[in-house]
Amino acid sequence: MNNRAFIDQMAKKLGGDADKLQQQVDVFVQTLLSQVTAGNSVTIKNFGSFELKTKAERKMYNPTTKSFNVIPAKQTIGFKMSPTLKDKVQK
Amino acid sequence: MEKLTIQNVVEAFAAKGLISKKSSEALARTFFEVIVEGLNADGVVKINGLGTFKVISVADRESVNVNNGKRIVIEGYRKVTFTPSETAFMNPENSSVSSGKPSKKKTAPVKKTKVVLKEPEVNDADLQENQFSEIDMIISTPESLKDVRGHLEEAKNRAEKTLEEANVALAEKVKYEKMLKEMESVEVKDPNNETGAKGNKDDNTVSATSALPSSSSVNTGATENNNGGKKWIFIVLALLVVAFLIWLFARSDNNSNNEQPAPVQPQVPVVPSEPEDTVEQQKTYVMQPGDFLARISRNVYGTEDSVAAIIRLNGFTNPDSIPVGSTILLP
Repeated sequence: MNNRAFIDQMAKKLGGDADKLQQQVDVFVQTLLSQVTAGNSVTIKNFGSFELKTKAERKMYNPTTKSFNVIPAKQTIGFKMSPTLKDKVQK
Repeated sequence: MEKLTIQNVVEAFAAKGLISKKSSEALARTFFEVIVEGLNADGVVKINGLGTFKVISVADRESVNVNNGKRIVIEGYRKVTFTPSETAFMNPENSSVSSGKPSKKKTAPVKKTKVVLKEPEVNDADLQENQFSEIDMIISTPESLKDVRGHLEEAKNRAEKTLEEANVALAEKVKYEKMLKEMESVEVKDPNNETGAKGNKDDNTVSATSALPSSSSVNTGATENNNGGKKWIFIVLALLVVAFLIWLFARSDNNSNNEQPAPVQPQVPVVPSEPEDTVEQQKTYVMQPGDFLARISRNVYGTEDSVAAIIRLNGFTNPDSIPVGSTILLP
């Protein structure tokens, strides 16, 4: 399901214009991400939780140049699914 | 690090004044509902600005019960993974946080980010000022402008000069070509004129004309000689090629002649080979320990196909057990 299909599905449920909904969803996603990237964990009931994770720096071997490079530490967004979601996606 | 729920996010979203709080809640609820539906339907849900949710299956794996040390199998299951999009950190609100240092120093994030934000602003302002001042310097100095103009004019003058030179050269070339054409036409006409109107012209012109034809005649003679030499070379080459072809033909004839008697010669030794066959027919073989007919046939004839013939010739009733030391006849 790509973004277009996702927005269309949401528009069908909520009723309304898909383009307007897209704008609202963008702002909503920004709000969610701003909370997560500020270092807070955001838990969504029956879905899962987002939190900021730090990935440690690691060494990488480039087989073409046969050199070791250090990939610096970076931050990413981690997601952990809730047990309810786990039950829902089992088939 | 605060533990927030979706309720906090919805409140923050509603505070932006885009839609009411009630419809914000509905939006958030449907947002995650549709994600779950999409995961069940396609297994993948992509959301612009946030990232991709994907369902992956985890295979069965074996583990050990730490209490009793027994091996147990943890059954496989499906789980939802999330890959943040590249733009997830690119919001202006987040950039200062994401580009900051690891999360250990984020215990008091709000104040520190403010400090971090202030510093780049000052730096940016300084940089911009410096840049502008440099640009002003460059623009305000009239000497540099004059220099540039001088360089441009010099380049223009050079280009014009080269153009004029090129034009002059072209004109000269056209003149020379015309002269050459006239000379050629004179050369062609000269032989006719020489016979008819030699005496009518002045001495100078006659000498000039006589000089020209003589040189032309010499040239033509030389070319004729050259042509003659070339012709001779061609003739010699052609003769050589013809001779080579004839030699090849004769050789192939010889080969064919040689080939024809060749089969005749083998026919002669065929006659003595027949007596050899009769000798072979009389050949015998003394059985050694570990021998078997297939190996004998392979050694003598190269194939195992003659086993049946050996059996037939010797009248073996039990060819698998032939006493050691007995002599057998070979076909």
